This record gives sequence, C-alpha cells and structure tokens, in this order.
Amino acid sequence: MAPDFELNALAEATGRVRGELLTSETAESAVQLLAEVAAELVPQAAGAGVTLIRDGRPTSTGSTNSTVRMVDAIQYETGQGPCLTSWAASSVVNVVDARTETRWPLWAAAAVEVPVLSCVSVPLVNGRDTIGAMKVYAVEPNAFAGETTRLLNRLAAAASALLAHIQTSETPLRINHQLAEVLRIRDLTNMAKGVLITRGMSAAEAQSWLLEASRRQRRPVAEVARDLVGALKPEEGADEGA
Amino acid sequence: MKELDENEQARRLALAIDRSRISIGALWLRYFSIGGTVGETEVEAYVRGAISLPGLERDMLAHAANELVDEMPPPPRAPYRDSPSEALAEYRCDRTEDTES
Repeated sequence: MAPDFELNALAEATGRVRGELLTSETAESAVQLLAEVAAELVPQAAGAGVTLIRDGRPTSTGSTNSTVRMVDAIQYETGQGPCLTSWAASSVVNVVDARTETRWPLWAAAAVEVPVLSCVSVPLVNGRDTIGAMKVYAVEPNAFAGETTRLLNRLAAAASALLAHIQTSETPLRINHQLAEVLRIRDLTNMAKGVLITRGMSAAEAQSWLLEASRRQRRPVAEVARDLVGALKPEEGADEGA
Repeated sequence: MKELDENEQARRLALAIDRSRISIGALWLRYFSIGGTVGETEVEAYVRGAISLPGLERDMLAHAANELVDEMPPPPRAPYRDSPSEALAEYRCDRTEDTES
C-alpha cells in the first residue's frame, strides 16, 4: 500500500479539474457575447438572449436589451415559457403569435404586454446534456422564417461545446459531491476488505474476492462492499465465515 | 482456461471506454474508488499499451469500466406524433406553479 501516493494522485486529479473551471463572470461574458452574435445573425430580431439552465433555474444569462431581460424574467418567475420548454425537451420551440399561444398562458399573457409576439428558442446541447437555450424575440407576430431556426441551430451547436466548459459557480459544489462519493465508496471498499481480512484473507485476496463477488452477482463493488459491512453487527464481530 | 493476453486486455479496455466516451479521468476515479492503487498516469499509459500492470489491477480497471458502461443511460428514443414533449412532463412536475400574472 502507498497511501501518500494515492492521496497525491487524488489531489492532482482534483486540482486539474478545478484548474479547468472558469469563474461565473467568464460564463456571464460568454453568454452575453453569444446573445449579441445571435442578434446580429437575425436582423429582424428585437433582441436575443442566451441562458444557461440547470434544474430549471437559470445560472448565467446574456441578453441584448431590457426587453429580452423582461421577457426572460417572466419565464423564470412563472416557471414556464418557450426557453424552458426548449431546454427541458431539447428541441426547437417556435412561438408564432403570443396572442394565440396556449402552451404557456402565463408567459404569453405577459409577453403580449411587453410587447413580444414571436420568438424562436433553440436548445444548447452538449453530448447528453442540455445546458441551456438561446432565443430571439420580435415585436411582430410570425417574424421568423425557417431560415432563422437553421441559423440559430448552427450557432447553438458551435457555442454549446464551448459553453459546456464554462462552468457556473455551482460546479465546485458538484465536483465536491463527486469527490465525496469517490471517497465514500473507497472507504466502504476498504472496510469490506478489513472484514475479509479478519476471515483470514490477505489484502490482495480480499480485493480479488470483492471483484469476483461483484462480477458474479453483476452488482457494483460498492454494493457488495456495503452488504458485507452492513451485515456486520458491532457485538457479533466478523468471524462468522473464515 | 487460457488467460487473456495483457495487450489484448488493454486494447479492448481502450475500445470499451472509447465507445462509451468514458474519459481516463472518470475511469481512474471509479477504479480508485473500488480499491485501485496505481495512479492516473499509469492507467493512461496502460490503456495506450505503453506499460504493464499487475493482473489484479488490470481486472479492477476492466471492472471499473464495466460499472461505468452499465450506468450509462440508454440512448434517446424518438417521439410519436401524439407525444412530442414527454421530457417536458418530467420538468413540469418539480416546479411549483405561480398562478398570478
């Protein structure tokens, strides 16, 4: 066993992951830039916005003007709207006329007041994750043709890959969770090995035993180890098998 | 039973993680959590066929990869005309409805 070496390797891996993190300020400026590009790409748009979303909540938002911010704010207050749907369903959402829109009555009613009558929202997809949505708004109904969707989709594809690397302030927390999970399983595995060692196995034999049991039962090592440790009552000791 | 050649074992491990887009980092974390003792650099070198590892470590790496593969979500299915937004339903249920507007 070489505990120092293991700890170093873990520290190094964690440090490297952290080193790749960018600050939330960077994420804000990236989405802001992207919103501006989207607005330039679609000249008939009154404004454009890009939102990174996690668990239904926006984490970083970029927008070209206050109209966009207003219409976006309505979505997150009411929990409904084209952007959230685009994010949740990972698909393009087209609002032709907010006055006749029935999918999100709260959002549509508020949007008509602004006024914003049409909108196209495309999801930002990276691998298996949908990380947010990008949208353009117009004052007139039916302002966007199929060409807009095609352009936005192309922009979204390129931007998603980059945005996925730009992390929000929640990311260190998620990494800590991952690290905690790794250490929890490792702890459990070591405890299980300890149980097996009291049954007369060597450390290497205990490791092999766990691996074999996990393969045979087609269950993760962590579960096999948990069973082994869980079956152990403090007053009974571990010498039932041997 | 003839034992699998080490190079072949490494080559097929590389294929398995490549197919499922599992990074060396993710593989190493799982391998470490189930008791692996060699470092990430060595794991990467082994996967690329550059160094040799003890048999138990090789099997633990294979096992770590298989656990990760088993945890992969199935690929997405295509929607029908009458169910265009099933993903939306999942999203809606964890929101509290604000009825004012």
